Amino acid sequence: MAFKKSNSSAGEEFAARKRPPLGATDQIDVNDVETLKYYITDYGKILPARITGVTSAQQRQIRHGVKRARNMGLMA
Amino acid sequence: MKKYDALYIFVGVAKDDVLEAHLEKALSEVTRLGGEVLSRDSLGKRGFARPMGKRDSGVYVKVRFELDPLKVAELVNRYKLVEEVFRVQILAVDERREANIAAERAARAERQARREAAQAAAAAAQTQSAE
Repeated sequence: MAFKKSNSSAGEEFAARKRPPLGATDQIDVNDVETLKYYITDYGKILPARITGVTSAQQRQIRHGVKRARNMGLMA
Repeated sequence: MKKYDALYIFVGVAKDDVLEAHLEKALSEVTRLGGEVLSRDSLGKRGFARPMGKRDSGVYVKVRFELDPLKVAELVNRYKLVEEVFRVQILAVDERREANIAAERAARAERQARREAAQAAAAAAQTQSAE
């Protein structure tokens, strides 16, 4: 049986952060780098939706925004 | 004609007049293809999150223009030849989405203001009852 890593630390870290209030129907502004920074780790990796609790549509918007920001040097 | 937002990065521009000259050259490509510049906004010199092209910082300029959608690919190819433009990102503008986001932000700010006013009123009532 493969060993399954626990991701509770990522969830706990995210829960401890002060993050913007986001409803299920709110849209993510893909140009707002300050908001997008809440959804990446300290190393610049995009956090999964099961950790952040955003919807699948919001997660796609976050992904687009982060990749655009990386391309323009606004994010690592 | 469709609206586009372009984010330009210029490097090695120490003075404003040099930046202006580079920006004019970049925007002349838009007008050459029959486009019209609607607005421009300089975001100032910013450090890059990671080094790009052996550079650590550049001046970011955001421009909104109108252009025929069939000419955008040609514009992107032209910018590869323009040395003054370090990097450019051209995105189509979705005005309906922008309006929705602005409305959501305003609603959120209003809810926050109402919450704070209610909290202040509750705190004031508590101090009055304590007296």
